[in-house]
Amino acid sequence: MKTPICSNLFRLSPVQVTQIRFGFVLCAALITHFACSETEPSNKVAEIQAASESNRIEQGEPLVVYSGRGAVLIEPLLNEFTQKTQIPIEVRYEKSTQTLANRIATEADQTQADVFFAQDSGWLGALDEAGHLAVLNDDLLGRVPEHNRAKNGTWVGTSGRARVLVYSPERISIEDLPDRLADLPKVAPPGRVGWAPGNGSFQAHVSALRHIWGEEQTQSWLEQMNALEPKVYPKNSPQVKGVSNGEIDIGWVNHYYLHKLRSSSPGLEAANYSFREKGDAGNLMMLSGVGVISHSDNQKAAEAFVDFLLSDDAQSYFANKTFEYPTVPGIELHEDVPFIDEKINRANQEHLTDLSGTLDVLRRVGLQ
Amino acid sequence: MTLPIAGILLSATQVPGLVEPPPLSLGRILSAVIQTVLLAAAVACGALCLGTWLAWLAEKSVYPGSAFLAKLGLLPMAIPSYLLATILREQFAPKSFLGSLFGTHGAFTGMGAAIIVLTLACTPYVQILASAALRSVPEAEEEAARSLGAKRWARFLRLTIPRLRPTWAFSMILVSLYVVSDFGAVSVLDCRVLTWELYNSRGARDAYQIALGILVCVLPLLAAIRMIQGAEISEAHHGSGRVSRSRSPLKGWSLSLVYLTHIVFIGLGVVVPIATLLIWVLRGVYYGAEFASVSDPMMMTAVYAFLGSAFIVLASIMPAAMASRSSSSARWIEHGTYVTSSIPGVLIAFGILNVLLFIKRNSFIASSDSFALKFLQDGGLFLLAAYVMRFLSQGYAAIRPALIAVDQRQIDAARSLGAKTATRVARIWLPSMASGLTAASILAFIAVAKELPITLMLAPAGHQTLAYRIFDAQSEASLPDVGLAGILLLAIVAAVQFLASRWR
Amino acid sequence: MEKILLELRSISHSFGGSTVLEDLTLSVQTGELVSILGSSGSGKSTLLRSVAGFVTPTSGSIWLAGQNVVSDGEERISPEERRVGMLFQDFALFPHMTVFENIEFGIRGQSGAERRVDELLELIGLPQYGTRMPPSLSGGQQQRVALARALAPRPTILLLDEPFANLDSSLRADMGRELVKILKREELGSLLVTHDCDEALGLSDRIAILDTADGGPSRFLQVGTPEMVYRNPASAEVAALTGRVSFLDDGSGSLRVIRPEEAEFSVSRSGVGRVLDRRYRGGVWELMIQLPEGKVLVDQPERSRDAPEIGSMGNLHLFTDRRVPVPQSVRECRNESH
Repeated sequence: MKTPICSNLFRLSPVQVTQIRFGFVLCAALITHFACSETEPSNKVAEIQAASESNRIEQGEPLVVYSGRGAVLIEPLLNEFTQKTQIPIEVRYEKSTQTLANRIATEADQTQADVFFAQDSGWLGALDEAGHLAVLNDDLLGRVPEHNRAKNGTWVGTSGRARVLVYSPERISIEDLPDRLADLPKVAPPGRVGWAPGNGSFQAHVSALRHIWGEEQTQSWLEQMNALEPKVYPKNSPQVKGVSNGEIDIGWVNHYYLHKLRSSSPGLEAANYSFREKGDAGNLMMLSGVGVISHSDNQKAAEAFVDFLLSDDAQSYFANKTFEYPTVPGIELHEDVPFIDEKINRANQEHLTDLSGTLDVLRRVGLQ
Repeated sequence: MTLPIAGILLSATQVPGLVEPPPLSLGRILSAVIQTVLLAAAVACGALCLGTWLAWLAEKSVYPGSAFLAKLGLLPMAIPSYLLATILREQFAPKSFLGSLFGTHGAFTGMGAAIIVLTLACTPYVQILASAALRSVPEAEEEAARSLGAKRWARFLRLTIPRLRPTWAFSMILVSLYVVSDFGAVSVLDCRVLTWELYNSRGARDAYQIALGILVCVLPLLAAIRMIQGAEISEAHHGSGRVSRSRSPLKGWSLSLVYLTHIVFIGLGVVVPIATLLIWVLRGVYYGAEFASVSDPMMMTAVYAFLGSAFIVLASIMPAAMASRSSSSARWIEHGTYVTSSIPGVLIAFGILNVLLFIKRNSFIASSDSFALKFLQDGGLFLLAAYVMRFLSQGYAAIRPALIAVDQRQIDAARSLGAKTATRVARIWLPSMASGLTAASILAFIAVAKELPITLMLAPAGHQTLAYRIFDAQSEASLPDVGLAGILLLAIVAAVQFLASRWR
Repeated sequence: MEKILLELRSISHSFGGSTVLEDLTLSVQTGELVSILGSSGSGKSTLLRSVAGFVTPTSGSIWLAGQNVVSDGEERISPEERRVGMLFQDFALFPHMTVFENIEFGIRGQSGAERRVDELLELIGLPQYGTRMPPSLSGGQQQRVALARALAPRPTILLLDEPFANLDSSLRADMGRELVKILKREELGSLLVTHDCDEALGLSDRIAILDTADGGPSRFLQVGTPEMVYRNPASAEVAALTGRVSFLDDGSGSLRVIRPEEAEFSVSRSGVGRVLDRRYRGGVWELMIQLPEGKVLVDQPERSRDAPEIGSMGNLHLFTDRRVPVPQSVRECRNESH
C-alpha cells in the first residue's frame, strides 16, 4: 500500500540520527553473533556419546533435514540429537509433506536434503518409487517389526498414530457413534462434522480406503460425507479444538492431537473414538517415517539420525511427548493413550503411496 | 517487476512432482475469482462506511474521550491480518468468549469471517484518508453554508459527501487492492480466494492460471489508482483559507451510538487481540505447555527485517535519485515502483520461487557451481529480493520527498565555496537525507517483520520468523505459541514505532 | 421606511481569560452600510462572527430585525436560523458546485428558486455563467457569485468580512462601487469589516472605529459618518486609523491634528520650516516639513508652484486648528522624561 500519509511522520534531528547509527551497529553485531552460532560447535565434550564414535562427522557440515512434521512437534527432539552427536542440523519445515516430497523429487541430485522426515509414510513410498531414497542398513531395519517399515528397506516408521474420530461427549452420545467408518455418513449430524482433505493423513487414509473398499465405494462414501457439508480444516488439531469449543461435533483425526492439546489445556471437552469393529477400515494405523536421500553426500550423519529416531529415548519421546505409538517394540505408551492393538487395521503401508489416484478421487468429489 | 512475471510463466513449464495433481478445473478458478471480487467489494463498502463515520466523529464532533478514542481506533493497523484473524477465529468459536456472547453456532471461518476481519483491518486506512479530506474543507465554507441555513445533516449531505467523493474512490481501490493481496486473513479463515488458492496449489503445473487470475484482478485496480491520482491533481479541489476546526458536541442517542461503535471497533481490533494473546501465553504457562523456542524466530525476524530494510532503502535511493532529476522519466520510474509493490506478496513469492526452481532444474547452472546457488538460497537472497520488490514503494515514498527537499541552491552554494563532490555528499546531501532514510528504514523494517506469504514460501531451510511461527502454530492449534510469538511481534513493531516517534 | 435591522447592545467578548471586545453598541438600519474599521487583531472579525452566530459573545445582546438572537452568553437563535448573509474574505464558494448551484444553495427547494438565481445572475452581471465551476472564474467574478449566493435567501443583513482583500487593487474600486449599488437596490443593511481606511471612507454611510486606546480590549472609539470621523476624529488613534495625519504637540496639553491637504508650504529664506523629504505622488508632492514643534506631512498640488528642494526653508500655513487629547501612551512617556 502506498504510504503518502506516513512519509511526513518521521522527521529526525542530527542527534537522533546518531542514535540510529548506533542501532545499526548493534544489529550488525547481532547478525555476526547469529552467523557464528550456527557454525561454531558447542564445547560440551562430555556429552558426546560413545554411540556416535563410529559416526563421527566432520564438523561444520550440517545435516539437512526436510521435515513434514511441524517445528513445534519435533524441535526439542532435534536439539537433543545435536547435543548427543555434535552433528548440527538444519531443518526445512514445510506445512505439507507432499510439497516437500515434490521438492526433493524436483531438486533430484541437486537437493540439499540428506534426510526426509515424513509426516506420512505414503510420501516416503512415492519418493522411493522415483528412486530418491537409499536402502537403510539391516541393523536399522531390524529394529522395527516388518509392518512398520518398507519392504525394500528404503524407510522405517518412526512412530505410529491411529486414525480415530474425535467427538464431543457433551453433544454426542458414544452409543450413537457407528461401529464402522463406512456408517459414519448415516449417523453424523449435517454441518457439524469436520475434516482436513488437504492434510497428508487424510489423503493417506483415503488411499488406504481405496484399497480396502475399492474405488467406487470410497468415492460414494466421500460423496455421502461431503453432502453433510463438513467444515474444512487445514489440519487435525484445529478439529480437536473445534470439537471442544463448539465449532463441530465430530472430527476425523489422528489420535494423538487430543492428548497433545489436553496437556496444555486440561479443560478440553473432546474424546477419541475407535470404531468397535475389529480391523475396521477406520481404525487405520499410520506411520510417520524417515528415509535417507540417495543423493546425499552425508549418508553417515543421515543414518545416525535414523538411528537416533529409533533409539529408546526418541521412541519414548514420541510416546510421551507426542502421544504416538512407538514403532520399536517394548516402549511404554503414555498413560492417557489407550492400547488399541486388537482393533487396529494394519494397512499395507505400500497402499498409502498411491496418492495420484487419491487426488483424482478427491478432485472428482470436489475436495481438492 | 518482470522477475515475478517471468516466474509465473516459468511455472507453466514446471516438471511434475512425484504425483502429478489432476488439472485445476475452470470452475474452481472462476469460483476463486468471484469470491475474491465479492470479498473485496464487501470489505471496501464496509471499511468505507465505518472509516468515514469514525473520521467524521474524530474531525467534526466532540464528546468525552473523543480524541483518545480516535487515536486508539487506529491501532488495529499495527496488528497483522493473520494474527487478527487467528485471534478472532478462536474467540468467535461457539464456546469461546465472543462466540458465547454473540451466540455463534459454527466455526468463524469463510467469507463472512474474512469480511469482518478485513473490514476491521482496513477501516483505519479509510479513516486516515477521510480525516485528511475532512480537514481540507475550509472553515469559511462550512460557515457560509450555516449562514445560508444548512443544518448539520444538510451540510454533511451537500458539502462533506461531495468533498469526500474523490477520497472515497481512492480508498475504495486501495482497500480492494489490500483485500485482493491479502493472504494472512483469508488463509487463516480458509476463505477460498485467489491468493489462498494459489498458495494451496503452488506445486501444481497449472497454478499459473490462478496467478494470472490475481493479475487480472490487480491490474485494473492499479490503473484506476493512477487515473484517480491524475484527476485529483488536475482538479486541485482543495479550498484555501483557515481549515475547519469547529466541532459540534454530541448528545443523547447519537452519543450512545458513537460509544457503541468505538466499543465494538476498539474491542475487536485492540482489546480482544491483546488480551487474547496474553491469556494464551498465561494459560500455556499455567498448564505447563511446552513452548517452542522463540529465540531463533525472534533473531530471524530482527535479522531479516534489518537486512530487508537496508536492501529496500538502498534499492529505493537509486530510482528516487533518478526520479528527482528528470521529470519525464520520473513518472515512469514512480509508476514502475508503485506497480511492482502493488503486486500481492503471494504472487511475487510464487514468481520468484519458480525462477529459483527453474535455475535449480537446469543443471548447467546448478552443477557447475552449486556452492553459489546454495549461498544464494541459504543466504536468503531470493527472500530479500522478494521483500525489496514487495516494499520498494514504502522506501521510495519516504525517500523521494527527502531527496526533493535537498535544496539545489545549497549545493550550488557549497560548490561556490569550493566543496568537492565527496564533501558535498557528506556534508549536505546525507544530513538532509537522513530523516528520509530513517523513515524509510523504519517503515520497511516493520513491513518486513510482519510479512507472511513471501517468508512462508521463500525462507531458507530452518529460517523461521515470528510471522512464520504464528502461522505455523495456529495451523497446529497451538495457541500458547501463537500468543507468545504474537506478543513478541507486536512488541517489536511497537518498540520500533515508539522509537521512531521519540526521534521525531 | 427605515428600520433598525441590527442592534448590538454592550457586546463584550472574552477569550481564554482576557477580554478582547468591550461594551460595543451599534445599530444598522435599512439601506445603510456601516463599516467597522480597525487594525488587524482588533477583534473586528470576531464581532462579525458573533453577529453571524459562529461565536457567542460573553455578555451583551444582539438583535436582528427586532429579534433577540443572543443574550449574555446564551445563544437564542442558531446561525442557521438567523437569516444573515455572509461574504467571506476568500469567498468560500463551494468548489464542487456550479455557479448556479452555489447561488441556489440557501434557497434550494423553495418555489421560484430558479427565477431568483437567474435574477441574481443578471444583477451581478454574469447571466451566462450559471454552469461554470467556481475555480474557473476570476477573483472579481467569484466575489460577485459569493455576493449573489449571500443575497439569494433575502437576508436581514449582509455581513462582509474584508470583502476586497483578495482582489487586485485595480478591481477594488469598481467592485466597491458595484457592491454599494447592489446593496442599495436590494435595500439591505450591511456591516462591513475592513482594515483599509480608503475602503471604509469610500463605501460607508457610517464608520465605527474599533480599536484599543490603551492596549486593553477593543472598543468603539468613534462612530459617525466618514466625513465626521475623518475631519473630526475623537482621538489621535481615530485620526491615525482614518488616513494620513500629522500631530503637532505645542505643549498646550492637546495635539493639533493636521491632514496633509490642510496645510500649504511656501518657500521663504526666513521661514521656520525645513523640507526634510519630498515624494512625488502623481499630481501632488508629499512634503515632510520639520517645524520646531514636530514634523508635518503636507500635500502640495503640483500645479501651484515648483516643488521645493529638500533642505529649503519656508513657512507652513495651516487651515485648521482642530485638536485631540494627548493619547495615554504619549502622556506616560512625558511623565517619565520630566
